[in-house]
Parts: sequence; structure tokens; C-alpha cells
Amino acid sequence: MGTPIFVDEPRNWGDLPKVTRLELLRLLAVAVPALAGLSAEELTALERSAPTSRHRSLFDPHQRATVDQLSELIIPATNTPGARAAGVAAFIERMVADWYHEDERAAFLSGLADVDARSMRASGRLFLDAAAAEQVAVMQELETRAQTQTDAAAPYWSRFKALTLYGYYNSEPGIQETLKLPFMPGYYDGDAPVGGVSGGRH
Amino acid sequence: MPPRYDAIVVGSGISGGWAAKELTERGLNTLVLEAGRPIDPATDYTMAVRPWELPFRGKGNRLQQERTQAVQRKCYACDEWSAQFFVDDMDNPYTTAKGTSFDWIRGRQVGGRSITWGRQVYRWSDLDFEANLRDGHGVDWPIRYADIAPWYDHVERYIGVSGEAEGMAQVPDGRFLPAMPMNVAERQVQQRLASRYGRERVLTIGRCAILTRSHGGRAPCGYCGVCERGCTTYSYFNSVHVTLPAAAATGKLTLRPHSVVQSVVYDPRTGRASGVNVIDAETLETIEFRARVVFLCASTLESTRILLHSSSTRWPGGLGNSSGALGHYLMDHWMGGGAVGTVPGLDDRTTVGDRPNGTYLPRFRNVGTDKAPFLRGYAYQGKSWQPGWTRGAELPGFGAAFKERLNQPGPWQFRLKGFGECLPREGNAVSLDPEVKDRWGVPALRVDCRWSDNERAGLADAAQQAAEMLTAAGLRDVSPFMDDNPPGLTIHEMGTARMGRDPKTSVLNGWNQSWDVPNLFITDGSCMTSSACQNPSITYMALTARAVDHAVGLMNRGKL
Ligand SMILES: Cc1cc2nc3c(=O)[nH]c(=O)nc-3n(C[C@H](O)[C@H](O)[C@H](O)COP(=O)(O)OP(=O)(O)OC[C@H]3O[C@@H](n4cnc5c(N)ncnc54)[C@H](O)[C@@H]3O)c2cc1C
Repeated sequence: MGTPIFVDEPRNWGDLPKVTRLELLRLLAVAVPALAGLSAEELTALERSAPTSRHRSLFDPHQRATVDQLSELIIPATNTPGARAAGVAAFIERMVADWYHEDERAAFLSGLADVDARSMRASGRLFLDAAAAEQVAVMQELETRAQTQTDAAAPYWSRFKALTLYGYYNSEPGIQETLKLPFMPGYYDGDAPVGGVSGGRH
Repeated sequence: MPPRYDAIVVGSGISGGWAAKELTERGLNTLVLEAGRPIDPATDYTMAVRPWELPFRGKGNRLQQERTQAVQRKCYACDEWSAQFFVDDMDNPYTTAKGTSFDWIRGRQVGGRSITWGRQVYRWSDLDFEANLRDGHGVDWPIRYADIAPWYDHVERYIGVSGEAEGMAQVPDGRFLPAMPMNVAERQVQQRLASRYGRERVLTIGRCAILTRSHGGRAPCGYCGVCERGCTTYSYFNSVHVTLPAAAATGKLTLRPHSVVQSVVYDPRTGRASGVNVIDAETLETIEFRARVVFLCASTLESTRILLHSSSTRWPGGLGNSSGALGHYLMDHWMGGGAVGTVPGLDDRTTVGDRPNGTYLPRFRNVGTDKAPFLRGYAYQGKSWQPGWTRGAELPGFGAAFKERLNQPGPWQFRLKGFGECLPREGNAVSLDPEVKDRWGVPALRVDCRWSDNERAGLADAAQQAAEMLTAAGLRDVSPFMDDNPPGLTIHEMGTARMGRDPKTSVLNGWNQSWDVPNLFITDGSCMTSSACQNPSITYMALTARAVDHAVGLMNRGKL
């Protein structure tokens, strides 16, 4: 194996899973078909028949708009594009639909409902209908809870934020306009001033 | 009559590519049999694909990979761009002995794992070649540094290795292209370590098979940092765009993809290998090919699997296994005892370009007068970097100011990560699984491999020493870590058809030649007698070139 630099951050960052016991068992079932009591062919057929895309349309229009608004408030348009312009909501929908496990998906969707519930309690309006300051207040509350990890909403909010950042900083506007990362600078400068040409790939 | 060649090479990865180049350049008509698909850099390399062009923006198709690449996805390089260069675990199953685990990371296409490899190359030294003899674990290597040094020269001159000469006996200097620069934080750590440890613990820039200037018609690195997707400027070494084209240019190469070698054919009349049996991966047809000499370069465990599957009445325990050592003495490096911390200051400095190389801190344990409470040693790879937006999930806040903060580089981090030697032990072994077969009907391997207390002691020591060194270098928030990886995941699996001085205890002689079947050579990692702690692939390349030279010499003298 090569240098661990690649393990360090961007690519293993965020909610890429650690191998859990459950996964280990799944892995064993693949590696040791006899253990699962199935022949290799049976297992192959079984596994291959699993659906591959739920992406078509997981969110209803209200959920989609809520995700879009939340992501834009996390990474707003400033002098550079924000999450909306970077298509982050569509990325999140794809991830929740086609990348998440069933339990993760359920947690995400109930987290989304929780945003509306909090907004209703605070202002009597759904998140999308609340005033800008009220929206920020709901997010601030989720943020505080996430930082102190006090209730079930905490991991939901952290994941939402992580997805937004990942989607944004791997989008065309995020890389080209905000980070201004040269794809292949043609040289390496290990001692450059901050604020000059941007750094390495993220 | 089956088609006949001068030489057959099984596998087209790092070792097979070298065998092909060296054999064809010596005028031999050479057939390279590769189990996987052909690779065309123009269409298969994904370096230029940007994350937003991918469905998961780089995160990979997790649900599919959990089914089809449950093992491969544990490798850092098996991402949305490069998953195509890793095997399908369902087509290529293996089993593990009860209570053990082994992560077997493989590539099955033209180029093998040379496409995705990490490109770190370090010479071994006599500290390594004499290790078994010194402490009695394993058998003595039949070669010493002086035997392989000219072949390291030969390989380095050809592939292009950038690095810094340090004059350290435990990692001999090579024929280096200009070194890649260290960044400002690495230089600071380097200086502070130097003032604390002198020449005993030296931080140097990684030695890597990546060009820092034009070399052999290939362009220098452009610092996009994603080599393992396949480099469209051909700046790092792999067999697809370096050795195989060189072999093809001789007009002596036949490269046959989709050719799964299932066994070596032994001719009891001559006592030699007459050729190999192939299953065409697409048509499932069985075909025999013949040659005067056979080079197995299918990778460490795959070559041994072929031999175990080549049993006959003459060779019930696998072809060329009169010693009984075939399948035994499997090793991998342990990985991940180390430490990470924050380099204070330098807030107004950053980097431009993504350097696909880190730093290296060569072995210091059991070197010179050092006496560690375990055998052998380890080295660290590492680097300094500034996390950017990736730190955002843990930072409080959202909105414009938050975004502005994430756009700026964070505090410098530095990490040392140990890679350590594994003792050769008979019990770490592979055999053919009695039930499970791969997609082409070839029996799968059953792997029985575990770490011993010596490996665990090295790992713990590496974490402790790393924390001590980073603290000495003035870092803050230093935290040691000890990863608990199963063997295999370091992807330096070695052994199972070892070289030796005695046919009674080894499979191969000092020329990678089967003691039992003289026209059979194994030059991939299967041949390794001990594991050292350096990344091994350059040693496979050097041994391959050396073995070809020897084999062709024997052929020319009518002895083979
Ligand atoms: C992510 C990663 C990082 C790494 N980093 C480093 C590093 O920094 N330094 C280092 O020294 N090493 C590193 N390695 C290890 C390195 O890649 C291997 O040591 C090297 O590729 C081994 O070369 P090989 O030719 O023996 O096997 P491979 O390169 O694996 O090639 C074997 C070939 O044989 C073919 N084959 C297998 N079975 C058969 C069969 N039955 N019939 C026909 N063909 C067959 C395969 O399809 C494959 O193409 C790394 C590996 C990975 C995956």
C-alpha cells in the first residue's frame, strides 16, 4: 500500500462507513457461501437481483424544497455560488435514495419531518413558510443539539450538514468558482502564501 | 498441436509486465496470459473525470459495492473512479479459516494492481536479507543485497523513481530523479526531528515511481494527485503504459486478455512444464498453450493457487512442492500504529498542487545499537496537510461566515503511520477450499493467516514512538493510534512459494526457479522469504528482471 495521505482525509471523510459487525457478517456470507448455506451461484443470483436505483423520486416536492432551502442556508450564495446553484439537493436525494441503507433513509426522512415539527412549535409555520430569521433559529437549535449530542436529532443534523458540504465542495461551482482549485497545476508548491493560487484537490 | 511460444508469462501486473519486457527484449516470443479485460488508457483511465460527473460525486456506489466488492471497498483506492480496477468479490471468492480474517485486495485486468498501486518504492538492504538467518525465523534468503543491487539500478533507471539520497544503510539510495518538495510544515518537522534524533531517525520525502522530469518519453507529474485512476500523462509507473508497450514494441509480444490460467501442465517424461491450461473467460473454452519456459506472475496468492491446482500423481500436494513449503509462510505488513498531531503556526502558508506522495521515516528499530523488545522493525509513511472544507462537519455553524471559514485552509496536521515487518510462520498458509470455486470453476483459496505477538508488539511500539517524536517536534494535540487491520489490507501480501538455499525447505532457488521443475519461475511476491518493512513491489520487479536474465542465459547455453 502506498502513502497513507489518501486515507487521511477527503476520500474517507464524512459518513463513509467504518466496517461494522453486520457488514463483516455480510462480507463473510460473500466470502464463505457455505456459511450462509447457499451455493455461490444462488448467492450471486440473490445478491444481483437486489434493486439498484430508487433515485427516480424519493422526496415529495415539499421535502425536496425543504432540503434545498436547508442546504442553501448552510452554504449560501455569497460572492460565489451557493448550495442551490450547485445542485446539492439533487445530490442529497440521490444519496438518501441510492446510497443510504434503509434505516439511514428512515432516519433522514424523520429528521426532515423533525425540522418542520420544530418550526411549527416555534412559529406555528412549516419550515419553508417561516420567516428567514425563524428558519435560522430552527437550524441554530439543531446545530446546538448536534454539538452537544443530546438527542436523536443530533446525528441527523450532522449527517445533513456533512452531505451538504460534500455535495457542494464536489460540485462544479464549488470546486471551480469557490475553491478555485486548479485541476492540474503542473507543479507543487509546498510553501505558498494563503490567499494566492488555491491549494490541492479536495 | 497447441500453439507454442518461447515463453509464457501468467499475469500482466507489476511482475508480469516486467517479465514480458525483459523476455521480449531478449528476443523471446512471449505470450502474456491475463485473466482480466484489456485496458485502454484513452477510455479506461478516469483521471480527468470530475466528481460532479459521477452519480455519487465520488462517494461510490456503496449499496452495489456492499454486494459485489465487500472486501475490495475496504481499500482506500477503491472509490467511484477506481472501483473498476478492483475485482468483483462475488466472481472471485475466497474463504478464511475459522476465527481469522484476511482482506485480499486484487485487480483483475491488464496491468493488475499496477494501475492502482501507491507507487512507493524502497530498496531492501542486508538488514532484511540477513534477518531470517540472524534470528532464526524462516529460512535464509539465498541472495544478498549485492545480488539484487544492479537489478534495482536497472529497474529504477527504467521506471523513474523520484527521491532524496540519504546514505542510510537500511534503505539504500537508488538512481533518483529529483525529489518532490516537502511542504513547509514537513520541513519544520524534519528539522526538529533532526535536532532531537540526529541521523538515527530521519524524515525524508517519499521515494516514488512518479516522474519529476521527462523520462523515457513520459511527461513529469502535473500534481493532480489521483494517480490510481490512471494517469493520462503516463507520469507514474504502471505496466499498461510503460512495460507492456515496451514489450509490444519488440514485435515479440502476444498479450491475451480474458485468459484464466487454471494450471501449469507438467510433462512427466521431461520433468518440465510443457505449458499452461487456460479457461477463456468469455467463451469458457479450455485451451492449452505451450512454451519452453513458464513465468508465474499472477500475484502472490494467485500463483500459488495455480500451483496447488496443478497437482498430479507425481505432485499430489501441488506442482513443485517436494518441500511441502508451498502455500505456507504467508506474510503481510501490519499497518497503522502511529500518531497524528497539529503543527502550530504557519497559518499564512499553504500548498499548491496535490502531491501524490508523502514523507518517509525509515526503520530505526533494531538498527545499529537500538534494541527493541520485539524482532525486526517498521518504517513510517506520513505527511503534513491542511484540512479544508472536510473539517466542516465537525465545526459549529452554517451560513456565509461558515462558508468563508471552510474556504480557508485549516491548521496543519502531521501524521506518522507505521508499516511493519511480519515474521514468516508456517501456520500462516493457504490451501484450496474443498467446496468454493470461482466464477470460472477454479477452486478458491482458503486463507488461514493471523498476526502474532511480535507484530502486535511492533504496532504498539510504532504508536508510542510516533507520539513521542511528534511531541519532540513541537506538535500539539498529539494522539497515538493503533488500527486493528486484518492481514491483507496493507496489500503487501508475500510468501507461500518462498526462495531458499535448500530444496527441502523452499520452493524456489536463488533465481526464482522451481527446484523441482527447472523451466518454471515464480517472480511475484509469492517468492518472498521474509517481508522486511519496505513496500515490496520494486523488489518483485528487480527479482523478475534478474530471473529473466538468468533463465534466458540458461536457455542460450542449452541448459533449459
Ligand atoms: C491501493 C494499492 C496501493 C499499493 N501501494 C503500493 C506501494 O506504494 N508500494 C508497493 O510496493 N506496493 C503497493 N501495492 C502493492 C502492489 O500493487 C503489488 O505488490 C503489485 O501490484 C504486485 O504485482 P504482481 O504483478 O505480483 O500482481 P498484480 O499487479 O496484482 O498483477 C497480477 C495479475 O495477474 C492476473 N492474474 C491473476 N490470476 C491469474 C490467472 N489465474 N490467470 C491469468 N492471469 C491471472 C491478474 O488479473 C493481474 O492482472 C499497492 C496495492 C494497492 C492495491
